[in-house]
Amino acid sequence: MKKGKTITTWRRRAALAGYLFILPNALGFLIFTSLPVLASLLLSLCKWDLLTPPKWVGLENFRNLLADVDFWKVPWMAPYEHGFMFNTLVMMMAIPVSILLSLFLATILNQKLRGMVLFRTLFFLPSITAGIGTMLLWMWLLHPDFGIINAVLGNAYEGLSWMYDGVRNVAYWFGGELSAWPPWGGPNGMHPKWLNDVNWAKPSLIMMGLWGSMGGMNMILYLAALQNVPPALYEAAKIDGAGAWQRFWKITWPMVSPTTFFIFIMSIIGGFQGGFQQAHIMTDGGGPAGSTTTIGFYIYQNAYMWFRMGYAASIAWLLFLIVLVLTLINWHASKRFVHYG
Amino acid sequence: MKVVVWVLTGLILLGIIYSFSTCRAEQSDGRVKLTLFDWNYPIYNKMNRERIAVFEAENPDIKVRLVGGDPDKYMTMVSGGVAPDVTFAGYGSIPYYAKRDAILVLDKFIADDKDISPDMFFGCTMDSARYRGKIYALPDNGSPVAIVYNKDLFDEYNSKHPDKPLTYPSEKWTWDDFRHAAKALTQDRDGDGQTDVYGTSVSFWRNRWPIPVWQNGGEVVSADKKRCLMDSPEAIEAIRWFSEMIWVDKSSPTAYTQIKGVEAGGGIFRQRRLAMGMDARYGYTNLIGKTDFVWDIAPLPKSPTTGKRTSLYLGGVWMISSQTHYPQQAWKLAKFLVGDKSSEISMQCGRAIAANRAVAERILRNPGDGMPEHDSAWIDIMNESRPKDFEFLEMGRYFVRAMDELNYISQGRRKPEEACRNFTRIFNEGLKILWEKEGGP
Repeated sequence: MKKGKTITTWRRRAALAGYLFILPNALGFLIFTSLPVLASLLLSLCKWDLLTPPKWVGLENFRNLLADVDFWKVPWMAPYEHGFMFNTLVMMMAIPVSILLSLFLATILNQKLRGMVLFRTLFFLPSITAGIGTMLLWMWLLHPDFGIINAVLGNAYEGLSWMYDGVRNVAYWFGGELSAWPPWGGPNGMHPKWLNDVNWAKPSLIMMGLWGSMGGMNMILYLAALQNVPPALYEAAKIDGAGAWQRFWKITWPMVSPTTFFIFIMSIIGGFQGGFQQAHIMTDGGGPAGSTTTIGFYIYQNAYMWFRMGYAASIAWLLFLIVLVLTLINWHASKRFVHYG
Repeated sequence: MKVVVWVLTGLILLGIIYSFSTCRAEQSDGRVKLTLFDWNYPIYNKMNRERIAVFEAENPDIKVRLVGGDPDKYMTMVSGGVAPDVTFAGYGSIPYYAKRDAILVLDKFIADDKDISPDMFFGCTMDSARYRGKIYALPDNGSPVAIVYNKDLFDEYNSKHPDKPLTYPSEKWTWDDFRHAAKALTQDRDGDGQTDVYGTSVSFWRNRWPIPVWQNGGEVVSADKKRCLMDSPEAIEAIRWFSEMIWVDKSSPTAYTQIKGVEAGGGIFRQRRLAMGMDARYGYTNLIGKTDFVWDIAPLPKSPTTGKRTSLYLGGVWMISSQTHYPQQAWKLAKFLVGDKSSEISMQCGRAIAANRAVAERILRNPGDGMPEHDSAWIDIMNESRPKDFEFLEMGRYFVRAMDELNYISQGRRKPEEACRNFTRIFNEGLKILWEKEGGP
């Protein structure tokens, strides 16, 4: 009896010590994360300009958000005008491409060749380079008159006219047109004006995003996943006469599917929240004409440029709901295509 | 184990108590502690530390703590009840703070203080510190917009065209002279069909396009701030003048070329690809000692129709928070900051032109090494300038959308008339809501 009591006391003390050890972290989380999150929910039901006390407005912010033309409009409603939800979704269309490119790179870098470590490091470099530095670099690469990309396109214009046609078609995809503008003739030919063009700004950011993301953390995750695929599976498949594509499709793809699922979920979440830095640094605050303003940047504009805290909080909560629903759908659907072990 | 647990608990409690104890400024050594807030740039921090050292030496009963940050941080401090006593801000934010009683009215302080008078400052700087007839701030520094031009490109043109030489920009120039010179100086040097040097760079940025509108006798908003007037013939004509330099003369880059840094202080001016930029004196930091050509400044040209020459004044002010516990001491600090010694330090650090007229005139009339020849021209330009009176923070998205309409001109998507009409419509929608919900700007 006495022994049992000692054990209970010891356990209690051990538990207390454990709680005390996690207390700083838990307190920090509660005070600096949970409380602000709850406060933002309350704020979304108020009007607050930071200087005067919040005023309760009920669901007015959400009603205004649902009727906010700038948020929901699509280019085919108003020419050249791209809504912020549309901008965000268009930029997220790069997610599958980015995932496939990461997997492709990881597959190549998974080969046992001399100097592979160097290549892996080189491809990972964009992820550890300062974001602002690379953005400034891309701004110069994409400069319509003096940028190297248009210089190359200009030199190759004649020979690559077929590509220009293709590019124009892509522009249509993103809701705009490339030909016959400016209406009374521009001085700089037909090359894309990249960041300075309503229709090209998003593809420019997508291009930069792909460059940064395909060789980054996603590639490392895939590399780790590929190295966990038992070589015996490939050997058995080879003996059975499976070709390279079959081995990839029937073994590699299912075996890395948990990683793909993880990357996909994180990319969707990141995609809905993203675009702030690019809009702030590269397109002078979400321009031209709002074509690179994403939901994340619109939250910033409302909260810290126009001090409409309540409205900003309501957008943040709508964003949370969208991300939650999409994650749940993904989670449910994952049972069909994600294979664990 | 027990000891470890108690020590840990004690440390956590101490940490919490300490963090709360630092929330308020105190008079621990008998001195009044004031907080001074300014933008967090290294050059400004250095300048402010120098200013504070002088102030503290003159006022041993006051200690000043410098806090650096952007407007977001300032707003967060105000909202948290720990507003800095004295704060630097762009004058555009005065109406927002004044309407919400976040800053003190300074008229009485000025009336009661024989050391300071509104006449000490350039007119445009004092105008920028007023809201609804009351003074809410003391002007610190700023700059209007002027022509910054590459003298070498003018000389090069004149040596090739001795029969039709161009004069350097001067106070005699009208829009026509400017336009003629811009066209003449635009060059395709290698004959590849691409412009290599632009005569000028007109911008539909909100700190540029209002200037020709004002010069031409137009206004962006009515005096009572109830109506947008950008659809007036004067405004449309001024915007068309800008537009034609882009699309008819092709002497200015289109929006497609205007990435950040295209203004005089930035990239293409420094690369000799721009003959005449329109810039504020803030741009000097990007030019002095960084160019391999001779450059100078001149006033903006005047409208040929009205003969009026004005410019747009951009600048910053010192405000005193209504949360301050020490208004008299805060006033003392604000007054010092715009005084002679402090203004001198400010200008030496490269913060544009001091609002303090005497200090500014003394320095501008004695330009140091590397300064442009006509640096003193800024004095007249300051006297002819006016602050922006149409940028209302609460209009948020309406304002941005209205500005987009003008930007569409430089993208070739709108004609000036259509852009001005759309601008007016959108701006009026925003104004209507602002008056209905907030009692006006």
